Amino acid sequence: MNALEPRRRASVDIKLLRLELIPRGKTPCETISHEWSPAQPTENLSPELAAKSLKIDVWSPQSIVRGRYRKLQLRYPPEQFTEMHLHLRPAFELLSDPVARLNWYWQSGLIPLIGMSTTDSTSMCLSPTDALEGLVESFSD
Amino acid sequence: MSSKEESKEIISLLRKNWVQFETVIHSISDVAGFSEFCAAYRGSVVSGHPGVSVLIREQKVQLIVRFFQDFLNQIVIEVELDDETLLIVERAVNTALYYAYFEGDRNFQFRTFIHFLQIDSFEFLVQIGVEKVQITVNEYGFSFSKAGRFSPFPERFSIAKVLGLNNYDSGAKRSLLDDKVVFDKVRVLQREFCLLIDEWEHLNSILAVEQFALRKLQSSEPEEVSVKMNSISQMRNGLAFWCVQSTADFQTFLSQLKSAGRLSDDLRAEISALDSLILSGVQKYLLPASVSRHVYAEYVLVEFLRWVRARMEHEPDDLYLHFAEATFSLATGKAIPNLNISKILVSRSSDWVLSADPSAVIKAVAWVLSPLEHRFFTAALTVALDCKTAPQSLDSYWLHTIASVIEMPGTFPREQKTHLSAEFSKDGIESLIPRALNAVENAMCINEEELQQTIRYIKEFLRSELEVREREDVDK
Repeated sequence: MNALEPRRRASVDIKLLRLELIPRGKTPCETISHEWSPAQPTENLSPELAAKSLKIDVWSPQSIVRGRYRKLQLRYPPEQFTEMHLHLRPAFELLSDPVARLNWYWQSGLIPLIGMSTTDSTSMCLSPTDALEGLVESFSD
Repeated sequence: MSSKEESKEIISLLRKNWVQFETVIHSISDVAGFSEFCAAYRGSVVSGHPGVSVLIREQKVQLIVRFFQDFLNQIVIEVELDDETLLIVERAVNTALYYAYFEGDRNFQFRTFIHFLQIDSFEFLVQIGVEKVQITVNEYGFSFSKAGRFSPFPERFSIAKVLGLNNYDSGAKRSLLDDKVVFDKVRVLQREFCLLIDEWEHLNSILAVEQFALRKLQSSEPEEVSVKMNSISQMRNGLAFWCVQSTADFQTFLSQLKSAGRLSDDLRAEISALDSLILSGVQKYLLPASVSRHVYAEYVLVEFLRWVRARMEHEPDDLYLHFAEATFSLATGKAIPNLNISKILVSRSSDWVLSADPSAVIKAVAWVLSPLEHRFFTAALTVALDCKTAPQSLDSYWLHTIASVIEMPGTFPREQKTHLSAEFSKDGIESLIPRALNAVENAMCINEEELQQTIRYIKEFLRSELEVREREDVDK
């Protein structure tokens, strides 16, 4: 099962959204969460294919995406690169610092579902029935 | 039966019946073409979707009607159904829908079901004994009413309720001292907040696209457009209310945690990470108001204010929060307890924090400010940014930010009374404007035509205020 879930995007007309959602004076890549995921499944995938396999929509300008991609390849040595991106999770040193970890998720467009809980490793996302049980509990004391 | 017990009863019944509801939704996965539709689904009807036959659509709608017929008939045995209890039903159903990803596929949500069947919205009546309950369904969920009064955006419970955060202030206080429990809770909150922002961005962009599409229609069908525009704007209010409400609850919980004291360093780090995550989220909620001029209704702004107050408890020297408190209080017509902005700006810049760019909070409620108040906030923003960029002078990015706050005079329909009288005395605004002018002037060293223009624009705006004041003094 995937440990991370791609964020949904209503990509109906992504260009329109850029008009709407980006504060003036910022390019998509500078805006937190508006950038494309640095999580690539493998080294050899093109950004487009990688995005497709992650079910993420790329909507930063192509040049920026390519730039980020290249930087990413420079940042990790090849053997780490594959491992890192096959598992689609942030690097270990990122996980240890909460701000860095959340920033990674925030910027990658992925939502952490596993490994967030320390006591119950099986708890992923809440299911509707979990949510309803939580509600029942909060109304009974 | 108390309302608490009623809620409990209703939600437990829904819990028991949820499997049946899921079976209804699941049943469309057998319809030809669904898996392709689902894979390509991104929040609205997939282009090239051939549609389904009327027969199938009718069949599925009937399944839903029958489910609610059964469900409400079970409830009425335990609880008297009036609009109040129906609201609990509505919130419970829609909260469950928020968490519902069928067959483990995040693309297969309730809205996928609605869009695959190509139903915009539908209404039906359910007979409960001698009475009837009216139910409306759209892609956002279900609304229930006896009197036909529906909330524009199907209501949900605050996520804090789902996570039991409200229980923490009574019986569970002792467990706050158990680091492991708290650590776990904070991690869960981080995840839930990520999901909440995902939902916000998803729904907000769907609404933004719908609104944008209306611009094309504008000239041909003015009446129809304004009706649709209105309903989109109410939807946005409803959505924002739920998001900000949950966020304010999260923040309240966090301040309880911080007050509990004796936190380990690891825990403190997790909490402060969540704190900044929440702050980025709130900046996102402000986007429709600050960028696309959506006017948030008062009931939404009240929640924003609740968030600000909860956060302020532990960040009293964060100037961003003072900006937010002042602007949201003005927008909700509440008195500002004490406006500290100019007081803070006199002190050394190392004594206060600017946790986020306050321009969004000013823009979000610019429509309610009087021109004088608006100038005060603009000048204060300029000074604050300048203090925090010192020893560098303002760069082009910040200059553009300041310029974006300046509104055309037409934004302010009438000269409103200034609520900030005391603060607007001479030492308030009059000391700020020269400082702001000075800050903008110092940024002058850059030689770019466009930037020069921006600078002139800001200076002109700030100066016009000085002139107004001088004229007033002469008149006296």
